Amino acid sequence: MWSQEVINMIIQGIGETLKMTVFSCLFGYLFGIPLGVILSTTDVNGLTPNKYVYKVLDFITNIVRSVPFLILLILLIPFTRALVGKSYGSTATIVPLTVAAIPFIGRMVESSLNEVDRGVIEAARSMGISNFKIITRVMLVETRVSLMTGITIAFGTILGYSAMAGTVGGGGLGDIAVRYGYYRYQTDIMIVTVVLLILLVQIFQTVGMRIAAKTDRRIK
Amino acid sequence: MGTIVEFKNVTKIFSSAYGTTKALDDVNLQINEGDIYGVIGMSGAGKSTLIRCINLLEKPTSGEVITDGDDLMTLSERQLREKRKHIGMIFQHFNLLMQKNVVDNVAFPLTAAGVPRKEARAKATELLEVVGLKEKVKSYPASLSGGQMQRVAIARALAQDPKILLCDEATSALDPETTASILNLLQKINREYNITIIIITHAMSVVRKVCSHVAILSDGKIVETGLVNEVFDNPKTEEGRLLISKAEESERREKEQKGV
Repeated sequence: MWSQEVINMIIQGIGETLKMTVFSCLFGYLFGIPLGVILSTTDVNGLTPNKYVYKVLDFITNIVRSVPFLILLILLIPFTRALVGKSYGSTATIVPLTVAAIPFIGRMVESSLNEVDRGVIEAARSMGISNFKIITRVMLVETRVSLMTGITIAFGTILGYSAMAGTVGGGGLGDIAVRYGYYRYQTDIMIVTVVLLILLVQIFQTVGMRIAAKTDRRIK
Repeated sequence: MGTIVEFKNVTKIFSSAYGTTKALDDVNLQINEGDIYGVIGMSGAGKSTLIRCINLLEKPTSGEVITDGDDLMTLSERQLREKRKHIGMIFQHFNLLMQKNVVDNVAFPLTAAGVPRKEARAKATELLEVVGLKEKVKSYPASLSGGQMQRVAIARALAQDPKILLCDEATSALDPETTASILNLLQKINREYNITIIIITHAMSVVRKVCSHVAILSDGKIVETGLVNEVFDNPKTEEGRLLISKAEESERREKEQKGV
């Protein structure tokens, strides 16, 4: 049962899961941060309120967030194929994972940025600082603890999604759990993969929260 | 001594779904260079709006705001930002950057304006000495008392060598002793750097202690202006008398509550 082959497969699964999660997180934040910034600043109480921009982005974000991930994954198959050349495997899965992650991350970034004290922003404006610098030097810096917490949440969620993608040939630990545990009734392999998934989430959650707490200057 | 801040028929109307409010109603005001000018009024009188019109954090609906020679309403966004650099501002709740230490808070307006970090920190350290917080350079705001935080905020407001310092209820969150020490510091800054100070407050004691001139704001209108003693001891208008008696009353109650 625990042949070298199985062990290699599981190690490869861990690698694939990490690859999908890390890259989706990265691309997710690449687009999610600007989305969150625009949502937060164009809000009625934001730095530069803009009803129309906010409403359009708010609407799109809600729509993508409302589509169940598995459906999104299938809907995006043509897009994924056009982008990476195929629609299965761990590299291809990064595409729908990123698409699902962007609105989710955007919302978290938005809510983090909305935590910034309006008074601090006003103080920055009174110093003659431009809106762009208020975003980059005040808002994103003052909320770094909240943003860091957001990253750990995003990581856990995307890892969960990546396991779901396994059911339709997405690769990674989820794929192994479904193929061996579900289709072949090899419960032990399924349990091992599930435990590994739990461990990964736990490790990232703990490390993330610790970094967040360590860098917070509001306590002490 | 010339005029440094002038309001000409300034009106500010806020509109919301619930209707419109006239926060400032045809305000005319003249503040001379080197003054410590107090604006006193009950909450809701429009004080906060008035002080925010001086650096255009709030844009008047109509009228002119002439600050240090320029009609602010005619400036471009970029020119306005440049102008704001010479108008320092401090707030009731200090509004410090909680994730930056004291020296970087004071250096922040400079580094944000592109001054090299080392140079900015040197200037910040100097200013922290002026406000009496030299030993707190490396501390974070969360570990400071209210009075200390306001000192940091004052140092920060001085970083860009302002000509005017706006104080928005700057001592309202502080106890009487700390209030006195902050007011002393403001006086010192006024004398030593010849910075015009404009103080918005609901407390008569603050105006009495440091201000040379005062304006009484009631329902968005300036009802009286003049030298502090003249206005307080001998108010000429009914609104002025009413406000002063109300303010005296609430100060007496505050004192009783604190058991002084």
